[in-house]
Amino acid sequence: MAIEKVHIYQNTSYILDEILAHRLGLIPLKADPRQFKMKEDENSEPNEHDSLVYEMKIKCTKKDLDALAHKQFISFPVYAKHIKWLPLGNQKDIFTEKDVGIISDDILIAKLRPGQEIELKMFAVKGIPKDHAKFQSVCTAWYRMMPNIKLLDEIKGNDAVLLQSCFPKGVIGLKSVKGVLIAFVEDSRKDNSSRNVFRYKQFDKKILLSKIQDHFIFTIESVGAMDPSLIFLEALNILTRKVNNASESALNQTEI
Amino acid sequence: MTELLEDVVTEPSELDRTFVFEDEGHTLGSLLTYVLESFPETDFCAYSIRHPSENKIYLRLKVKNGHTVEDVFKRGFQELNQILNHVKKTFNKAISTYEETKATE
Repeated sequence: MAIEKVHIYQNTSYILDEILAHRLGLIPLKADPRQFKMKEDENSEPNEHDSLVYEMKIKCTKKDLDALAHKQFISFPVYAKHIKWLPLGNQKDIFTEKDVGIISDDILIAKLRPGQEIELKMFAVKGIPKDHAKFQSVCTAWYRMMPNIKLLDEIKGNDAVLLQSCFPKGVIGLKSVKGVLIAFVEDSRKDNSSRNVFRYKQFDKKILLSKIQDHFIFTIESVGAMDPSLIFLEALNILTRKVNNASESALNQTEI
Repeated sequence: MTELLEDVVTEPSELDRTFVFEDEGHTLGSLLTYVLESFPETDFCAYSIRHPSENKIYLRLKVKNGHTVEDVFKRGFQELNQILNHVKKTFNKAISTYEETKATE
C-alpha cells in the first residue's frame, strides 16, 4: 500500500505541490496489503476494500515558533505524525490507526514558516513494485553461502587470542587446557569472510577458509508492512502461480 | 549464408522444441532450465530473452533418443512444483519450531 493520489486544498509552504505529493507517495505505510484489493478502475470512488484515506492539516503560527526551546528557530518541521487516518466505511471496526498508519512518526515531510499552512487529503491504494518502487514491501534481499572455517593446526597462547581478534565476535572461541589457551571454531556463521587472518605469517597454512556450496543464508529485510517470513511465503506463492500458469500456456501453444 | 540458415531453422520434432513464455523473464527461465538440465534425458536446455523490449522468453529443450520433449517438459514442471512445495513445508516447519522454542524460553 502506498499513497497514490493527493488532493491539495492549501499549500503555502516553500515545497511545490508536485514535490510534496511525491514525498507523500514515498512514505511507507503499515497497512497489510493482503487485506486489500487492487483498485480495478483508477478513477472510481475509493471504498473500504481498496483504499485508505489520510488527511493532514497543519498551520505554523508565531506561537509555535516561540514554543520551541531555542530562539534560533528557523522553521517548523512537519512530520509523519501529523498525518491522520480517516476510516472509510467499516474500516473503523477492522483496523486501528496503529494497523494502517505510518510506519515511523518522525519522517520529515516539509518545513513551515509562520503563516504558512498545508491542508491535504491522501488516498492510498494497493499496487505492485513493477509499477512504482513505493509499492515494494522488501527493503533488501540477498543471500550468502555458509562460511566454513577449519583450523588445520593447533593454535594456542597469544596466537589464539590474535586469531580470535581476526574474526567477528563469537566466531572463534578459546578454551583453557592445562593453563594454555587453545582456539576452536565456535560459530562460523557469524563470520563475514573478511580474510583478515591472512595478514599474519604465523597462521600460514594453518587455517582453511571456505564456503559450504549448498548451504545458503537468505536474508530479507521488510520495509515494515509485512513480517519477513510472510513475505517469503507470499513470494513462494507467486512463484508457484507463475509455474502453473506457464506450464498451461506452454503446452497449449502450437509448435514453432 | 544458405548453409547457416539451414543450420538455424530446425524442423519441429519429437526430440527438439522451443517453447515461448509470454510475460515471463529470468525468474522462470533460470529456474526451469536449472531443473530440466538436471535430468539425464535432457540433451540440451537453455533459454533466452531475444530482445529486452520483448517481454517473453524462448526456452529450447532437446531430449535424448527414446524420449519425447513433451514428457520431459511436463516432468520438469512437476519437479519444480515439488521443489517449491518442499521449500514451503520446510520453511513452515522451521518457523513453527523456532516459535515453540521462543515460547518455552
